[in-house]
Amino acid sequence: MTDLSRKKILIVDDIPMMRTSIKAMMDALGVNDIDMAGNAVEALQKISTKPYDIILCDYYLGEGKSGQQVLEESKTLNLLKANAIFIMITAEKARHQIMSVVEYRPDAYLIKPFNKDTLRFNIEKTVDRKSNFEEIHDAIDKKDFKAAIALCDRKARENPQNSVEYFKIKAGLLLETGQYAKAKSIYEAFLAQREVSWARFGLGKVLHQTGQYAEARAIFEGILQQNSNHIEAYDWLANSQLALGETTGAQETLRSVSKLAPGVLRLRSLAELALRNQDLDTCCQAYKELLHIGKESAHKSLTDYINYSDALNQRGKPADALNILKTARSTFKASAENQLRIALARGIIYAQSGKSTETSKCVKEARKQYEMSLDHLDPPIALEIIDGCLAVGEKDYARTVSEAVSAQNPDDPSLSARIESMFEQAAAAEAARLREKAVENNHKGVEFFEKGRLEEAYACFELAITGQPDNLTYVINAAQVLIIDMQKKGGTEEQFKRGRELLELSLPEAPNDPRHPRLVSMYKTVKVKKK
Amino acid sequence: MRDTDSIGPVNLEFPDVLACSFHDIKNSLELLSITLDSLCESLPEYPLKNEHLGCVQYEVLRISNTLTYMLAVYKMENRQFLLDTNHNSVHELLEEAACKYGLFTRTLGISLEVCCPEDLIWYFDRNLISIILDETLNNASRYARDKVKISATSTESLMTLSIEDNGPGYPESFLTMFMQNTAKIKKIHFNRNRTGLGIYFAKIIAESHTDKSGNGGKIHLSNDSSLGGSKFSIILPA
Repeated sequence: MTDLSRKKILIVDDIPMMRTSIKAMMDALGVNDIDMAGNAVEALQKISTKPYDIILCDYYLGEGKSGQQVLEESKTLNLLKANAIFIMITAEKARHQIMSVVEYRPDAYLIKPFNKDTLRFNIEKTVDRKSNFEEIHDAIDKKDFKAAIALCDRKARENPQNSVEYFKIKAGLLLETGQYAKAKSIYEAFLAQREVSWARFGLGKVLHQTGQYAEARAIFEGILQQNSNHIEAYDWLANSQLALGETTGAQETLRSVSKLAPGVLRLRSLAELALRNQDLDTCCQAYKELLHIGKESAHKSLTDYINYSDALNQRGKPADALNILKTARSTFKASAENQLRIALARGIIYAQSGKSTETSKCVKEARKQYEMSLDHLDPPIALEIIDGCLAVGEKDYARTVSEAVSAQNPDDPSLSARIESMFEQAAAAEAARLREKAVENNHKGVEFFEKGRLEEAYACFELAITGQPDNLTYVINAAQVLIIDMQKKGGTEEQFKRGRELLELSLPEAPNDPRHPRLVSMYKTVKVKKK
Repeated sequence: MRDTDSIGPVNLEFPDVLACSFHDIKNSLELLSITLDSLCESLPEYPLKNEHLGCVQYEVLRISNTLTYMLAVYKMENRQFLLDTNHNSVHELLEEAACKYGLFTRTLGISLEVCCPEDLIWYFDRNLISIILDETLNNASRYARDKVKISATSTESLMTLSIEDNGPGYPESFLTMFMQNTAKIKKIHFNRNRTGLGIYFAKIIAESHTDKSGNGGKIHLSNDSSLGGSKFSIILPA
C-alpha cells in the first residue's frame, strides 16, 4: 500500500462542495498536506510554487480554462515534478482520452461518481504504474534512448502482464530515434495478431518517416474513417499531405482538426499553410481564433501577431493590420526586440500603402531599438527583421543586421544561405520593379516621340535606360530621338558626347536593328549648335 | 388561433443540452454519493446492515449507470461511438469494481468475493466492460441474500467474466424472454423493475468485441450459479 500521509496533494474543482468533499475523502485516507484551487489560474499559480505529488483536477472548471488546459500548461511550462501524478476527474472518459494528444494525457481518469475506496484504488494503481515506468521515463528525460529501449526489453521480460505497454513505448522510441525498420516490425507483429489502432497508427508514422507518404496517408485516412475524433491522426495526415505537395488537402485537414481541438500550435500551422496557399480568408480566420484562445497560453507569440497583420494587409485591410500591431504592442513586454519587430512590421504596411513619412518614422524607431540593445538575435527573428528592412527599402540596414546575426551564429551554415536568398529575392523583386518601370518609361517615350515632343521623349528613354541598362532597344530609342533633335537644332558638346556613347553602347544590336547604321550616318552629319 | 400552441424551436443544439445535463447530473450524483458515504460512516452502528441506506446507494448507482447507457446509445445513434480496445489487466478491472461497490455491499451486509488470476490479461474496451460490470454488480447486490462473486476464467480463445449471487435468481419469465430473443434482442421490455436495457446494452458491447475472423462476444444469463442464485456472464473472444 502506498503511504499517502506524506504526499502533497492539490484538489482543483470549481464547485466548493465538491472540493471539500474530495478533501474529506483525502483526510480519511490519511493525507495531511492538501491544497485546493477553484479555477485554472489559481491551480497553475499553486502548481508553479509547490511541488505537488498528486493533482486531482476536474475536467470542467466552469468559465475560463479547462482541466485539460491546466494539464497542458503545467507540462509545457515544466511545472510538474517528474514523478507527480495528474488525475483527471470527469463524467465521461472516452471522449477526452481520444481527444487529447499523448503528451498531454493525464496519468489516469477518475469517473464520477467515485467513493473513497475507488479514489484510493486509482491513486495506488497510478503510483504503481508510474513507478513501473519511472526508470524508462528517467532515461527518456535524459535523452538516453538506448538505455530506455534496453529497459523496455528487460521490463517486458520481467513483467509479462505489462509487456504490451513496454512494446508500445519501445516502438515509439525506435520511431523517434530513426530506427524505422525495428519499429515497423513491432507494429506489424501486433497487427498480425489483430487490428490494434495504436499499432496501425505507429505503422503509418513509420511509413511517413521512410518517405512512403501515399501509403502513410492511406493509413491515417483509414484511422480517421473509423474514428473521426482521432486528433493525432489528423496532424499526421496533414504532414503526409504536405509531403505529397497536397497543400490544399493539408489545409483542409488542419481546418477540420482545428475545429475539434483548436490548439494554438495547430491553428498556427493552419494559418501559415493558408498563407502559403494564398487563402487569406482562412489564414486571417485562423489567426483571429489563435489570438483569441492564445491570450493566456504559454505558446503566445509576437510572430503570430506580426504574421496576422501581414495577412490582413495583403488582404487589403491596412487599418486592421495596424490595429493588430497596436494590440501586440500592449500585449507583449516592451523589449527592444519586440519594439523593433513591431516598428518594422508597421513600416512595411506604411511602405506598401505609399505613406513615406510614416514609413521613415517607423524605420527610425526600428533603428533606434536596434542600436539600443540586441547583442543577441534569434535567427528566425533576425530573418524576419532582415526581410522587413528589405521590404521597406533599407538595404544597408538589412546588411548590418545580417552581418551581426551571422557573427552571433557562426555554427549555423544554413542561416547565411537563407539570408543570401532573402537578399537575392529582394534584388530580384527590385529588378522586376525597375524593369516594369523601364517598360513604362519606354512606352511613354514612344508616345511623346509620336507627338513630336522630342525632349520629353528623350528624358523618358534615358529613365528607361537607368532602370534597365542592358535593354539595347531603349538605348537605340534614346539615340534616335537625341540625334533627330540634334539634327534639327544642332548639337551641344554634351549631346555629341552622349550620342556617341549611346551609339557605342548599342553597337551589339546593330546587326538586328536597321536603325543603328542609319543613326550612325545621321550622327556624322549633325552640325554644331550655334550659340 | 391554433388549437395547440407548441413551444419552440429552441435555439439550442440537442448534443449540447445532452452534454450539459449529463455533466450536471453526474456532478449532483457525485455530491449525493459522497454525502451518502460520509453519512453511512457517521452512523454509530456502521458497518452494520442498513437496508434503507442500501436502497438509496442502489438508486444513486443505478441512475449513474442508466445515464451512461443513455449517452452511449446516443453516440451509437450518431455514429460517434467507437470501441477503444486495448490489453488490460482483468484482475485490476475486477478489483476496481469491487472497490466501487464495496461500501454498498457492506451496507447491505453482503460479502463480495473477487476470483481472478492476477496475471490474466485480455483484449477489450476497459471503459465499456466496466460499465457492464457496474450495472450487473449493482443488480446482483440488490437481489443477493448475502453473497456476490465476480470471477474471470480464460481459455486460449475465450475469456469469461461472471457475476453471480445467492439471491432468488432471475424470474423464469425474464430468462425465457432472454432465451427467445437471444439471437436478436430487438425490443426493450418495459417491465416494472427490470427493463432489460442493461442486458441489451451488454449484448451490443459483447458483440462488438470481435476476434480476427469477426466472431463477436456473447452474454449468457442463467440460474445455475454455484452460489444458488443468478449468474450473468460475458464471454469475450481473444
